Amino acid sequence: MLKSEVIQVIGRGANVDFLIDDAAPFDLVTRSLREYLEDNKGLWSGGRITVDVGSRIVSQEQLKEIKGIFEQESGLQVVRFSCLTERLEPPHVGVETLDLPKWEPTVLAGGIQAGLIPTLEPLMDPGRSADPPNPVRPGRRQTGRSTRAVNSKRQWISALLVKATCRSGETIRHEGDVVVLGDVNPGAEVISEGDVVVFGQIRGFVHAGSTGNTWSTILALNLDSPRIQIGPHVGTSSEAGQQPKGASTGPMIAYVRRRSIQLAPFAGSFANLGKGEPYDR
Amino acid sequence: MTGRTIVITSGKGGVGKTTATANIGSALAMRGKKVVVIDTDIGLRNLDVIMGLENRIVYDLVNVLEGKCKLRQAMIKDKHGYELYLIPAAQTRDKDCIDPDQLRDLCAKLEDQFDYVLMDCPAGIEQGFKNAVGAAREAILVTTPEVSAIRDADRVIGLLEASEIHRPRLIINRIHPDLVKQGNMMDKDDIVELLAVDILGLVPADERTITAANRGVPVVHDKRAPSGAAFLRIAARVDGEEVQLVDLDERSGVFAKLKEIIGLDRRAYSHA
Repeated sequence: MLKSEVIQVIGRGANVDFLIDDAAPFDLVTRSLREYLEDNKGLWSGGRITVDVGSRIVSQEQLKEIKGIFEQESGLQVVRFSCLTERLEPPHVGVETLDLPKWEPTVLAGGIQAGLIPTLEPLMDPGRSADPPNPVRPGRRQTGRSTRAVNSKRQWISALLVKATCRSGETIRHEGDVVVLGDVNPGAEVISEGDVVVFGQIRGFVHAGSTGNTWSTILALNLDSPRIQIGPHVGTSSEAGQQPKGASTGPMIAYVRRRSIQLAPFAGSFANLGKGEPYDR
Repeated sequence: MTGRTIVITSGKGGVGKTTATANIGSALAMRGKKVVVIDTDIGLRNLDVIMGLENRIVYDLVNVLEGKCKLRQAMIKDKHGYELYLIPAAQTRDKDCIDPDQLRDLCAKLEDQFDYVLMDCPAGIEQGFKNAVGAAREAILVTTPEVSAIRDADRVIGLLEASEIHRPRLIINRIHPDLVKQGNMMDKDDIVELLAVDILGLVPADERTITAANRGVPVVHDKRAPSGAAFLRIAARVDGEEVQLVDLDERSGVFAKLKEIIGLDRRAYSHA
């Protein structure tokens, strides 16, 4: 039947992957997905799944629709969308992850809660639940000495390079670092689990370390945003947008220190990112 | 004949989309081109009023798309004798009664007969916008030097790119040269820096635009109107002619010169 060509279900240990044919039109995908789940209703009884969209370009609405189908038609809970990372070129900025559970320190300190596990796989290991209060994803830049041992198992997450201006109403979400070759205009959002580097002006909302990583930084050639966020810390500026014409803040870095966001010109010791711990608390 | 289908859009309402459509259409027709302008603002039609063709409407766009009349019957010829036609919007219907495919087919038909197919897009980014943009190949973006209009224009550029219309060209409407000079209005460079698109033209704020619209004669027919001259230059650029951007700040008159010389001229640049 047609649906078996469009959707493949693969069991991988405790996880189940739904692979969707890249070339099939989206309405066909949703239709056959509905049919498939209806036909196999008894098979699913509460579980968390990953959806791999391959090289397909999907919008957030479409991801929401797929997630909705899964959760209505079966007891399954969609915890993660994934795609081929090498396909994440500028036209593919529409690929977004959805509803990733927010990382909360209390959850980890008090033992692992079920809902969090699939998105923070590396943190699943019970032996690591006693990590320092601000653990970060392996593969992210590790500055703390206690976490150095993890580096042997490092698993790099590709950065997303956006070769375009982020315009009002656009959202860019990515698991790794995000580099924007252009401006982030007012009304645009860039949400990254890692660092955000903007070769241009930031006038919109930028959230680095969106899963709670307070070691993340935001770098921009001109930082003039009314609101930025790193991990759980929000920085606001009432003077944003008041810059005199033609003036520039110059390259700026935003980082977290003593639980608040600090802004500094990206020069001197800040430029020596590789050496030591420039953002030491 | 292979014509060009261009949508004139803005996001925000009231920035002068309809005025720009009427004037660019008229100016292109005055240059000897065959032009058809389509009002896609179904339910809130205005283009017919601006062009002074209100009382000649028999059939409208929705009648054509539903096959109730022939395309030719819905096209109203402009009263100035140029090869300019208007397809008016239906006033008693709404935007959901047509879809982009229907409009695309219509534009493809019109492209065979005309040099330019201009579409006046409704404000907003809902169905009406999707209809007009889905049918177009090029876009002209109208904005005014106001923060809200520019924010909406930025959003619209993003949406245009999503529907494969790249590099829209920008018209900045209603510029007050005096306010720009005093540093109280965003100037061309500020807007271009933020939106990162090409400028198609600058139109000064001009009372004659308003009186012309009320009379139902596009301002390009008014030889003495600075805004009319601006639209003529814009039409020339649309038509592929190289026309220099005219600096609107140029002051004329002996009195202004005199004030400048003796330093009475208030020039308060914000960065000074």
